[in-house]
Order: sequence, then C-alpha cells, then structure tokens
Amino acid sequence: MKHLIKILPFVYCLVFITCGKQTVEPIDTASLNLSFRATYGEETLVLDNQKEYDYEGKAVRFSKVNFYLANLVAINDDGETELSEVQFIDLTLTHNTSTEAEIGTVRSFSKVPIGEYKYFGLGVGVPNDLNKTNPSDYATSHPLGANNSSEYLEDWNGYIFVRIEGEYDKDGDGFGSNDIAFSYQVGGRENLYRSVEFESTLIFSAGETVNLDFELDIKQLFTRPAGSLIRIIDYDPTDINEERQIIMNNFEQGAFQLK
Amino acid sequence: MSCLFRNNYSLLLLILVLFACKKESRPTVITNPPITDAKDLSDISYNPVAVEIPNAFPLPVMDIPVDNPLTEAGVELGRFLFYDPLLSGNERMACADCHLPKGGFTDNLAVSKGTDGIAGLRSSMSLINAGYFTKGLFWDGRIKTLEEQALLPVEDVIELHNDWESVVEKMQVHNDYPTRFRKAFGINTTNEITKELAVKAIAQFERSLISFNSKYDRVVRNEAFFEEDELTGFELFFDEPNGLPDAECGHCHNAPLFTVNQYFNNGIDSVGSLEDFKDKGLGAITNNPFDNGKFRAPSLRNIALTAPYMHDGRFQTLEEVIDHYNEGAHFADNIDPLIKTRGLGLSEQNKKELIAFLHALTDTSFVNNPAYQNPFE
Repeated sequence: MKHLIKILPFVYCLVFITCGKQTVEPIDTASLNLSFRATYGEETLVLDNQKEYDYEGKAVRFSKVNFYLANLVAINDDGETELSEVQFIDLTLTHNTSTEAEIGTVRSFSKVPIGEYKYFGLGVGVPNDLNKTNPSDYATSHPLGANNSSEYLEDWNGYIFVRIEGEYDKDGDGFGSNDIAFSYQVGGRENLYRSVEFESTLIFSAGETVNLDFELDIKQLFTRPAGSLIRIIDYDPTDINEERQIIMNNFEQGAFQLK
Repeated sequence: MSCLFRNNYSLLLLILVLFACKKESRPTVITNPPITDAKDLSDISYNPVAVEIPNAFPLPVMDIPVDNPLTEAGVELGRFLFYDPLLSGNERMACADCHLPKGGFTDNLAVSKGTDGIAGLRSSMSLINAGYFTKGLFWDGRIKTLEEQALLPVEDVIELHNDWESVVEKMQVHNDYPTRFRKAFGINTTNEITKELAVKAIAQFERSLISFNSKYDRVVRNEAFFEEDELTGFELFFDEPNGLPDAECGHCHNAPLFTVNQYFNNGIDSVGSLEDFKDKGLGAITNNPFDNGKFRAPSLRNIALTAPYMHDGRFQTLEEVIDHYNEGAHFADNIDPLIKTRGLGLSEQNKKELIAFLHALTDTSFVNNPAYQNPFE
C-alpha cells in the first residue's frame, strides 16, 4: 500500500498527460455564420406557392429558389483567406413560412483564421474549373454531388447556377392549368458566373463568432436595366438567354446585398 | 521493456492509464436485458475485413456512416437477415419477399402484401444503389438512414408484423447468428445481440447493392456503343439540343443515380385542391400542404425489371408511364413546373426510342450477382 501511495501522483500525471491532449486546444480561430434571406421587393419571400406577389399587375408566386456560391473569401491587404470552395444555398428549405424566411438559410464556418478584413468576396454560380466536373466526381453529399444532381444538366455539361421556379397568372383569372409554371434555370456557361465583393470591416477575433446577413431581392433580380420586369415564360432552356444575363447581372448590381 | 513490468505496481500503472483513456474510443454497445443465459462468444475469432466499395464509375463516392463501416462479415450477416423469415411474426416472410433481385429488388406487385397476406398502400421501392439515397427513404422520405429504415418493417402490422424483442430473442439462441454477430461486430456474449446491430448489418448489405454495369454505364466508360434507337432515346431523355422534343426525364431522374433524390408531384392525380390527394405522400410527413401528393422520384436504373410503376403501381408498363407524361399531367398548385400539363409532343417513334434507352439501364450482372442472392437456397 505504501508503494501504491508513492506512485499515485505519477499515475495522475500520466493520465492527464496521455488524455489531456485530446481536450485542450488553443483557440486561435473564429467562427462565421452566413445567413441568406430572400425578399420580393419590400416583402418577405415565402415559397411553396403560398404567397402571391404583384408582377406588373398580374400575380406571381414562387415555389423554389436555390443557387450556388463559390470561392467565398475574406479579403485584406495581405490577400484572400478562403472560407469555402463551393456552397449550395437552397432557400426552398427555409422559406416555407414568413417566420422561417426571417431566419433564412444559415451556413456556419468554424476555424476561420483570426484577423481583420475589408471585404467579403464570393462568386455566384459554379466557376469554370468546377463546372467542367459532374456529380460522378464527388461524394453523394458534396454540394456538387449526386444529392444535388437536379442542378446538373447533361445537355449543358454544366451546373445550374441559379434556379427560380413558380407560377405566373398569365390570364389574371387565378392560378390554373392555363397559366405558366416557370422554371428559370440559369448557368452552365462561364460567362454567366459573377464575382461579387462586399465592402465591410470584418474582425475575426479568437473564439468569437461573426454573423453576416445576405439578402436576395427576387423582384430586383427580375428587373431589366430600364426598370421593367423580365417576361415570364414556360420552361424552355433555349429561349431565355437574355433573361439569364439580366438575372446574373443583377446579382452584381444590388439584388444581392450584405445587410 | 522487461524492467517495466518488474513489479506489480508498474503493471497496475499501465492498466490504469489504458483504462482511463480507453473509455472514449470504445463503441457504445446497447445491451438488451438478458433473455436467456448469455453464451460466451469470445473464443470465436473476430477479425473484421473491410469491404472496399468498388470504383463504380459513373456512380459517385458513397457516403458510409462512420459508425457502420462495411465489413465482409457484416454484409454477409445482413444478407442472411435480409432473406430470413425469422424476422416476421409467423416466420413466413423476409425483407427479400418485397425486394427480390430478379425484380430489381422489388416484388413486381402494384402494392406489396405483408406476412399475413394483407396488402399495404404502396409499391415496394427498389433497393438498387440504396446506399446513395441520403435524402430520405420510402416513397414519402420519412426516414433518413438505411439503419432507421430497417427497423420499421419488422414491427409494421401490415408488413412483418413482429416485434424486435421477439426477433432478438430468437437471434440470441439461434445456432448460427451468434457466431455471425460475433464475427461482424465483435460482441462477447449472445445478449449483446441487439436490434441496433441487426439493422446495421442489413444496412451494410443494402449498401453493397451497387449497380453500375448497365449498357449506359459501359457507354459512359467508353466500353460500348448505343444502338441508334438507344442513342436517340438518350438524347430525348436528357433534352439534348437535336431538334427532337424534350422528354424532360433527366430533371428528376438525372445521371448518375437516375434519381435526384427529391420529391415531386408528377401530376398523376386529378385533384381539386391540395387537400384532396388520397395519399398525401411527403405532405403527411412534413404537414405542409404544398408537399401533398409528392413522392420520391425513384431511380430508373433497372427500371425495365421493376414494373408496375408509380408509388401505387398504377401503370403496368413503361409505355403507360410515357403516355402519362406525353399526354399531359394533371394540374395542381404544387405540380412541378417541369411536368408539362400540355404534354411533351413525343411521336410513337420517340416513345419507342425512349424505352430503348430505358432498357439500356438494365444491369443483368447486378441482378444475377451471387453475392445478392438468397443464402438459404
């Protein structure tokens, strides 16, 4: 027993040394939450065709909004710190009610290097190098993988950067089979990828969480430079090239904002 | 090193250190209350051999849960359980009775019948490439994982009409299963056999059901060529810009899985409002009326083997399915915008070509693979 008492401190030390490494970790990183909400002008966007919005005198409702973001970076004078290569943001999962829509879709990042940054940058869509891949190249749950294979079009050999779906009451007599169920699928081509930078002083301090709130105005996204809204037509991938350019340009020109 | 163990205290020290650290890394074993006297299994060797998921291009990399890696013994145990009527209350029916290899792992019935001969509400879903289905299982997506899924049919009164306590009791005193559970999971006594381990084994077997040798796959791998009608069917299916009508199939049944793992109202029911769907499908799970009448888009791999079609088996042939889409689907507030209510404009020749392509998704090497067959025969 005497010997046992003698070695007990040594035992404690050994136990703490061998096991302690797993739990004690110096905190030299920060966390980042990005939230994405959608509106239609001043109104909160509610999907699932539940809410009608005015579309130049006729009613429109939306069922699905999703898009890819890529090359998410924090930028300062020393360069860029990459936070994520690519993210799939599906607002459809979080905009079923007004309450949910206020919260939006949130993406969280841990282990963000501490520092002070002046800009937050991202690309809307899938950059060319990744757009040459296809869902077979990834694990099923990867943003570009088979779980999102609905966002890959064989005939484009590329991904749908932005998808907005809904219904348009063409004849103004209420929604029915004579109206337009639309699916605006934008992407597939390098010239539709858009890089956006948001000026904002971001201070990532050790152990702290930074929240960034993004808002996407679908009405503004559908607005022509002259101010009118783009036409809404039935799904036809070859017939909305002009509308595609307008939608992607509007991501750069204020429809997508850091609040 | 020999001096380290010179006295008992050094040994005690080592044991204390190892014991203190090991707790975190040991898997949690859920132990049933001992139903019978537990039998020691520790003399049986436990040398798990990992199953390598084959490079199954064009299939993607499968996400395997970290707490249920595939082993040879685990997959084999899963196969035995899958085909064993011991899981049903009257021991007349196994999982495989609704999921037969020759039927593309369906039973080829409009709606499946359970162990008491009572018909269910829906058609059995194919298990082909089920390991890739990570956005909900069943037609209504109510379950997230294969492990959770395998728990349900045993206690469903229409399906296997049993209870897990009874199944576990039988497995614990079985003349073969204790050894198989030991080899698969390293348990030490028979009372460590649990329903959780049983469904892990079944899920391992299901993840091994990988089909990637259809003609389509071989064409993608540059090992074969399509016939002319198959090629045109491929172009119709994927809306290739060739002047032909767009069949729009690929939006919901995209390659490589030929499902996009999502839920759609494909316009097969004529309803006055979203509340009128007889079978609400996803909506019954989410309680969101916009989801009423939405069902999982099934994989079209081996689709020629899995008739009849739709969640209720209403269409007997692929021709009937294509006619439905071609003639125009029923409008509803939640119909998918890519399902045309005005029809597709496919000619009779187009329909034949589309069906030729669908037949090119049949993988006979998969359905005849000895590793997937009934081990009791």
